[in-house]
Amino acid sequence: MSSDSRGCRLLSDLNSVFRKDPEIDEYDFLPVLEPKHNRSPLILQDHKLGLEMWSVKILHHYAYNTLMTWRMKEVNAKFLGQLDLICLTRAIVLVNPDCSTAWNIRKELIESGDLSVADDLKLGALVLGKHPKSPETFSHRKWLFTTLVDSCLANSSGSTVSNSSVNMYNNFVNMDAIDVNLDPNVQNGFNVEPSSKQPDFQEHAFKELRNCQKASDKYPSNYNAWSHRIWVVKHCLNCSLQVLFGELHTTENWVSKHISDHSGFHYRQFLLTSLQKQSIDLKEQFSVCYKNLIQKELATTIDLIKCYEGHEALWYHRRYIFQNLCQSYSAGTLLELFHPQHEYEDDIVLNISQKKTKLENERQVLLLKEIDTVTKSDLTSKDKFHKTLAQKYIDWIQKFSRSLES
Amino acid sequence: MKLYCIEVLFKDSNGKVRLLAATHDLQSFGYFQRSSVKEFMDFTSKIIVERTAICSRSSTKEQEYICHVYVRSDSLAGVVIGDHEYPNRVAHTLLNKVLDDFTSKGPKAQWSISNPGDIPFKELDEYLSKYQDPKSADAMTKIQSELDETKIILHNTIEAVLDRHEKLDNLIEKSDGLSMQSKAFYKTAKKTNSCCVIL
Amino acid sequence: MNNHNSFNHHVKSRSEVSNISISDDDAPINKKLPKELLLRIFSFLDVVSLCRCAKVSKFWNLLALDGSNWQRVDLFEFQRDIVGPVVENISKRCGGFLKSLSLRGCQSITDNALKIFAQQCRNIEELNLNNCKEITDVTCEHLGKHSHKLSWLDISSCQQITDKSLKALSDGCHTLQFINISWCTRITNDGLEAMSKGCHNLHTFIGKGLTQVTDEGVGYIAKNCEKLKKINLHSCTNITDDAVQEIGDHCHQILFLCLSNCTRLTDASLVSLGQGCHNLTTLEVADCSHFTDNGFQALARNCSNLEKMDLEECIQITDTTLNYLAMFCPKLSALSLSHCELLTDEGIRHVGASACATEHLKILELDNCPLITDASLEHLMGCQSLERIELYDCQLITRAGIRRLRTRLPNIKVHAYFAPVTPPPSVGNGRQRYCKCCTIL
Repeated sequence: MSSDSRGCRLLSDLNSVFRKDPEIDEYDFLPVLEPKHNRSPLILQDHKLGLEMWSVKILHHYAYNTLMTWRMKEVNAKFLGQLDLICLTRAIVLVNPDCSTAWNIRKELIESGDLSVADDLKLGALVLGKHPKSPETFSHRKWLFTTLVDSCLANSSGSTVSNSSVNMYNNFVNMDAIDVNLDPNVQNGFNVEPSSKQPDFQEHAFKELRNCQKASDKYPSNYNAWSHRIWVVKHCLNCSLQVLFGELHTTENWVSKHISDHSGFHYRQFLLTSLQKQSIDLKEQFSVCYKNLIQKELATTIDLIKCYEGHEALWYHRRYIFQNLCQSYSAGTLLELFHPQHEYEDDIVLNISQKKTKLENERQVLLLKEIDTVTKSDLTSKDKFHKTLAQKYIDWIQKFSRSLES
Repeated sequence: MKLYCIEVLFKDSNGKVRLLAATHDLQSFGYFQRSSVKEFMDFTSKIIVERTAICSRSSTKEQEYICHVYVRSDSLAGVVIGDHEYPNRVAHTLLNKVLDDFTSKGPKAQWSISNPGDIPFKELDEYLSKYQDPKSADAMTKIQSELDETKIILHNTIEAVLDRHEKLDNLIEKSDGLSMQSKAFYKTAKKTNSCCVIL
Repeated sequence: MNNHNSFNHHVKSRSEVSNISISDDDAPINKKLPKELLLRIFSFLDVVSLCRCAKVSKFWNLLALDGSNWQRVDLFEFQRDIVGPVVENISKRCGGFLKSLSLRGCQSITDNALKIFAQQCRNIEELNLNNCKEITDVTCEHLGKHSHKLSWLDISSCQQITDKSLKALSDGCHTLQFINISWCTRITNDGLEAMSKGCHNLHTFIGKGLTQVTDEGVGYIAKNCEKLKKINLHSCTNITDDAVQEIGDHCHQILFLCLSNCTRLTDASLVSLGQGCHNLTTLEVADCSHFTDNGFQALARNCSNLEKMDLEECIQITDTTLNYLAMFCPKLSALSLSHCELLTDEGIRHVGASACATEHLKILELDNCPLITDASLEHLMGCQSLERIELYDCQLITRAGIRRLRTRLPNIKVHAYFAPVTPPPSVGNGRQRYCKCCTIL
């Protein structure tokens, strides 16, 4: 098998760069298409690694072929030790992060104890800096976190990882910043078991949320990053109220700076839906009414629409919020239905029908008001596209209100 | 939404353009790309100001960036480069303010002979950071009345600004302001297949 | 790959009722060829083929798994899948036939399996347990008790091994000639003392990364094992010149010595080697940064048989060292000078003009020697045997210089960052490497 003899050297150059500086936090390919000097094409500056482009291809080709001949147990395969595998797979994923074989070999190395989860999380974060969308990298990280959760569960003799992780959250989020009345005594259900592993896990999970944010900064409408963030909130942080609040707070500023990022708004919709599911706890623990949250979100969205004309993402977010608000009126009915204050069935029936009419009236008012606001402020806009969006929104409301009636 | 740079330039009677003051915020770009990005922003500012008539405004889109230009009647020109989300009218209001402010910093006679830094204008950095958030920077409603947006000439690419016989590739090749590395960056970026960001 | 499973399968099915039809055993081949001939044929087969044959019929199963076919077993290829019972079954089946076993990298093998092995296979001569991380001193105790014919043993990277193991081996394995205990970091001087007293026949001692071992330990080996031809003490960071002096004083037959990354050594070591080890052909002293021209002068004057030298990162050496090597070591065929940053074209001129140059010199590594220029390449044009030259990161070397060298020495492999002259043809197997749109990679 003939191949460029430089591949081997480039790999060892890469390894020595990482040995020299384990804190490399960014890498990039430099536009040098041909070696101009007999000099290593890897440049290290201020924890940033630059690879001249001509070398990237050779390095990848070498690392990939070496790894694959080994993996497929071909006759001429070189013997590879654990350290070799770590280095080869690193070289491959830096160039092509969607090589799942490389990530899978790293999974095996973690299972055999030759590679630490923390180190692999670090590599993945580095990769995401250059390839912020890479689906294989995100899916590998899901695996890493699952492994971490499992090892925490095993270490804490069972039960309360997710609960105690909720408690830990207060260390990471400034709750004052959230407009919520938070009484720590209310969280009586939680008992923290001391375990050295857990703060570690917490830190990783919150770091992961920040990594997702970085990836979404790097690439607009980064669906992969945002859905990974949802996964982390769901599976690592157990959708706890505190986390949801914290995230709602931190992303508010972000979406107001990225007004055409559908994925960012979708994430907020996920947060709100999750809060809605726990709206009873919400009221008990924080004396926050879900309806108020959704109303605040609507106001913010309307404000953004007013400031920044002609952005479709904002209008779609408005649709979601408004629909949610309307639904919260009917959800309210159901809640009251189960309040056993009524002694006679006749009374209940009467009451329910009265309440229903009342709510339906309120909802009707809400619909009319929404149409009115849009007609007055947005349909008069000079921006043609903005006007189209506003008109579409009104059409949608009318369709939506008809569906409510029927 | 992001602002990357603000520049003040002077366009002399021969149509030649000289840079008087500039500030950049390139943190969102990769470490190794920043110097080239800066060179390209300066280069773009220059060629667009050269091709923008006195007493006129333009906003030129190039990929996800927009370059806002205003050349005043006294030949003083301002450039703001932001992303596509940044509202045009805020960018142009910012240009008004920057140019007014700059005028008060030194006599007009100096404009045609100054180099960047000769006329101190450190407020430029403040403008750049303050206007990152257009909502808090200024009451947006006030802006609407001051500026007639319909007078801004819109271009969809830099190529659209150029004269018919000009080619962007040639201009870049000939430019003194761009380093070899930046030219290489441009070439490789052009070559890049959109599905494959690796090379 | 589940050939090894057939061992398990076989052992079970033999005791139970086999459902293989008897007619298979009546196949013509079994009638034509006597059992002995079939056995003889099987003896040429490898492990995988034998296991396949064992599945053919009851009769073949018996023959294929006959111990006489299993004298040399290497399970390295199946390292991930090998578990204790497999080794136990092999041991029981092979018994005294087994002479050579490699379990290299079989990480799930434990003492228990090796205990049974040691008891069953008493004629074992070669045993490779490299990286069997689970094994402890217990294994070596059983080897010491039963394996008296053992001559070749590799227990490198078995980190639970301690001095006790070496004591046990010393008690029972007097014929040991080769031992590799690299990276068994718990081993101390005591272990080496014990081993050296029992195993006088050692000719190869490989003990890389024995960080607890000091001069005393090396001293025992040198004094008691005078037949040593090969010693490797790579990264034994606590040894000093005294250890090397012991080697020089006692091991006169030594041919190969590696002292790379023994960072405390000084020129005195080279002087000792020059005095005592005249037969030395290979010396590796990478990263011994205290070595200077004086030391290499003493060495070169006395060791004229040197063929291979690794001086990577001996950062103090200058052209003077090259001058001595060129003058006194006419058999040099491989010389590594990577990262010897003081070397200049003048030094290479000496090498190029030396006796070794035209006939013997095959490999020359000059990577990361920043002062080397194209002039060095001119000096080397007479080295007709030169097969490979490393020039990575010699920043003064130009494309043109390399081109000139290649016209004089057309078969040489020049390793530099410049693209090779003839681009290697891309590997033509059909594996899909990348998304189709990316023809670049």
